[in-house]
Amino acid sequence: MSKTVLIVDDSATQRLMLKKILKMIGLTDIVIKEASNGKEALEIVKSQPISLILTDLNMPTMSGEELIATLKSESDTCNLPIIVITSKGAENMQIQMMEVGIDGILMKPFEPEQLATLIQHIGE
Amino acid sequence: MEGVQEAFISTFEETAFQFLNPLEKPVQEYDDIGYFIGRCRFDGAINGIFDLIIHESTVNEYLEFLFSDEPETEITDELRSDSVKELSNVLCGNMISKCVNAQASEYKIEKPVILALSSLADAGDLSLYSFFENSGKVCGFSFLVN
Repeated sequence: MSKTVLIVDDSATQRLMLKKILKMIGLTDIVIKEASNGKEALEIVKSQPISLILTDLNMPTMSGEELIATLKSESDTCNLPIIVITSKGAENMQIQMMEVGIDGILMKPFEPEQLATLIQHIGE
Repeated sequence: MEGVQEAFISTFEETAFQFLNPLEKPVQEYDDIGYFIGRCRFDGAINGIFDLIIHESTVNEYLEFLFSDEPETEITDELRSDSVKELSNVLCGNMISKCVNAQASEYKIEKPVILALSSLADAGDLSLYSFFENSGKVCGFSFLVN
């Protein structure tokens, strides 16, 4: 059964870019689901098994921070791998994100290999 | 200013996959047809405004690259605006990180907005902008920290 990756970003362009990057790094046998904010993402997570979430932080309706906090607070989703992809490079924000239990953080723009490395690390 | 320009060029090239050549002569005016302006305000430990001026043809080229695997997808005005906002957001975040030494600082980038070129003309001061050439079209930015 194919694994499902959930891309959460309010920018359709960025979601498209991430889909393209996932293909570029060889993840062609996955199912990709998309959400434009944290609320939509939570609905998808509750409705089907998700293997990995790639999420932006700054989104309307429900931010990436709120999405992560919600997922980490619930027993059935607290171990779901999450990679944050953001345009903010503040170091202390990155540390805070890692402390809440995300599996990686990438600052846009990033090399496809960086995402591949993080995903490989999560899989190990 | 040189470091700021270098940061803009490198981030633009990595994000939009297109090359920029700095213009030696300042741009005095535009043909105001076909340009987008993406604006990001940032606030916190540092605050200011980042503007991106980009031609529709550059945006189309960027989107055609992104959609090369899905050629049936229609490139709409909404998608063009979205891509300009996303480019502005990424460029703004990188300019803050690379140019203002804000690595250890708290700041927030507001959601980018698209402005009419006329609003820039009203503000009037094109000397605040750095301009580049991209496939025969002008591309520019300003990065103003208060």
